[in-house]
Amino acid sequence: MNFGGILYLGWRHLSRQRGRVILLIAAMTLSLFLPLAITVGVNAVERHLRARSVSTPLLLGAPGSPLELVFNALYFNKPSVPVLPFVTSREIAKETRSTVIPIHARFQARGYRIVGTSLDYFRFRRMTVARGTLMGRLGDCVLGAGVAKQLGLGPGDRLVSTPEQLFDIAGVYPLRMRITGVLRPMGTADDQAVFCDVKTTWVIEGIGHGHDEAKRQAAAAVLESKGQNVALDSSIYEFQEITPENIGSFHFHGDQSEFPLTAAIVIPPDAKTETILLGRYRAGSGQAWLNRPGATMAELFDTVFRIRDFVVAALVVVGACAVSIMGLVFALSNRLRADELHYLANLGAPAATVRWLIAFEAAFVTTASVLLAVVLTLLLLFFLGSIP
Amino acid sequence: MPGMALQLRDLVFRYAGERFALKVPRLDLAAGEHIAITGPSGCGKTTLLRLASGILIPESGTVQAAETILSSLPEAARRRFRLLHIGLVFQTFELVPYLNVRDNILLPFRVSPDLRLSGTVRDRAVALAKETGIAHLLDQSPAEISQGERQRIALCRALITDPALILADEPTGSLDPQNQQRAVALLHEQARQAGATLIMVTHEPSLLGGFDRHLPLPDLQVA
Repeated sequence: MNFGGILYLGWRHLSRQRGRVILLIAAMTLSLFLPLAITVGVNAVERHLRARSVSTPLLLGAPGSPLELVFNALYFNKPSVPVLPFVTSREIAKETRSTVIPIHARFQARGYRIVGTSLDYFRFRRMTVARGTLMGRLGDCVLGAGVAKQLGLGPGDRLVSTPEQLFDIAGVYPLRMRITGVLRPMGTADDQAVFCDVKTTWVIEGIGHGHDEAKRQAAAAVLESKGQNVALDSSIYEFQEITPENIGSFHFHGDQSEFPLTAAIVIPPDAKTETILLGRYRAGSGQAWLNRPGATMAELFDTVFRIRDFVVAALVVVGACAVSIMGLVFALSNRLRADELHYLANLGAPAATVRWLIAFEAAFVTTASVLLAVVLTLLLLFFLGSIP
Repeated sequence: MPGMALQLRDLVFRYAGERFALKVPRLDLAAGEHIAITGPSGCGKTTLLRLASGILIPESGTVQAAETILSSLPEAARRRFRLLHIGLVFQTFELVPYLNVRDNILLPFRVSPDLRLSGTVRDRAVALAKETGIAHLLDQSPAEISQGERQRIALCRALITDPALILADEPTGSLDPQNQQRAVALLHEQARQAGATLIMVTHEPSLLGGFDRHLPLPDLQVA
C-alpha cells in the first residue's frame, strides 16, 4: 500500500473541497464538543463550588434564600441579600463558644467585591499574605491575588470603594482605603475579593464616618445643638480616607449590635453544639437561619445535573442527526467521485487504495473534529480552572 | 523494459444485457511490434483494448501478455500487472480533476505500491510534457486547458512508467493534424526506445504510416 500517495491524493481532493470540509468539521466538532463541554464543564464547576461549600460548616443569615446566602458569603457574587443584626453572631459566639466570622459583602471597589470580615476569616481559610501585612486598622484593606494582579496594585497603594449609585448625591460617599497587603493565590473566590475589617464596610455604608470637629465649624453650619448632640448642615467636611491624623474623629451612629452583616460563618466546637445551633436557628423560624452550605449546594447541583442530563441527551440526539447527515454528504460525495475512482481502477490502482481514498475524507473530518473537540474541551477546562 | 508479446485466443466478450458480442478468434503481436487497429464506431475497438489490458474479462478465450495469462488472473493481480507493465491512453483521457497536470502525469506513482516516485521520475514527467508541448501547463488544472492538451496529458501519463505494452485508444482524436503527427511520433519513439509493444486504435488513415501492421477490427473478428 502506498500510504504516502493516498495521503497526497486525499489531501489534494480535500483542498479542492475546502468549504465543504470546513463546514463538515465544524458540524461534527460542535456535535462532539457541546455534550462533552456541558458534562465536563458542569462537573468542573460542581467540584470547584462544592469544595468551598463543604469546607464551610455552617452559615448564618437573615431569612431568605439559602442559595443566595451561600453565594453571597462563599462566592461574593450576590450582594443584595437580606441583612442580619451583628448582635446575633455575637450571641452565638458568646453562648456556644463557636467561632463566628462576620461577613459583610455588599460593596465593590473597581468591580471587585469588598468583604468586611475579621482576622479569623484568614485563619479559617488558611490564607496568608504574599506581600505586606493584613489590615491593621479601620480603613485598611488587603487584596486577593487576582485583584492585585488585575489592578496592578500593592501595599501602600490606595483603592476607592465604588459608590452604590453614581447619581445619588445623598448616598454613600466613596472611601479611599489603604492597601496593606496582597494575599497568596488560593484558586478560589478569595482571589477576586478585597478584604477589610467589617467596621470599614460599615463606614462605606455610611453608618460610621469622620469629619471636622463640630466645635470648630462656623456658627452658620450648626443647625441644632442639644447638649453633646450637634446637628450640622452639609457644609461640614467629611473625611473620605482614614488616616492616623483623622482616625480619632471616626465614630458610628446608632446601636452597634444592630449593625448589618450579610452572613456569618459559624464554626461550632463540636457536633453537639452544631446540632443545638441547627435546631435553634432552623430555616423557617426566627430572625436568623443557619444552614449547611454543602447541603445547599448539593440541592442546587441535583437540579443542575437533572437539567444537564436532559440537555446532554438532547444534544446527543442532535449530534446523531448531524452525523447521519454527514454520512449522507460523504455518500453523495463518493457518488460524485464515481468517475474519478473508476479511472483509478482502470489505471490499475489497487482496490484497497481506492477504498482508502474514499475513507480519507470521512477519516480526516472525523479525526480533525475529535481533535478540535478535545482541544476546545481542554481550553474550557483551563478557562474554568482559572475562574476562582 | 523490453516489449511484451500479446496473444489473444478465441476471445468472446459480451456486455451484460446486450446481444452484440465481440469475437476475436486469434490475434498475435510480437514483442516490440506496433500495430494500428481501425474500424467503424461501435465495432468493439475500445472493448478489445480493455480486454487486452485486463480491465474487462472475456466470457471465454484467453489474453496472454508475455508469459502471463492475464484473463485468468484475479482482479488485484490484473490491476498490479496493468500499473507495472501497461501504459493506457483512454479515449476520454480519464484525468483526475483535482490534480494539476504534473500530478496527473505522475498518478501511477501515487497509487502503485510498487513504483517509487523519485527525482528522476519527476524529471521524466517534465521531459515528456516538453516533448508533447504542455510543459507550460504543468501547474494548471485539467479543467483550465483544452481537449487537445488533456489528451497529451493522458499520453504522458501512459508513457511515464516506461511500459512494455502501450494501449492507446484514439490518442489523437482531439488533436489538430500537426499535433496528431507529433503525438503518434512520440508514441512510436517512446515505444521504440523502450522496445515496447504498441497497439493504437485510430480512425485517421494518415497516421497508419509508422505502424508495422494495420488491422481492421471487422477482419479480425471473422478471421
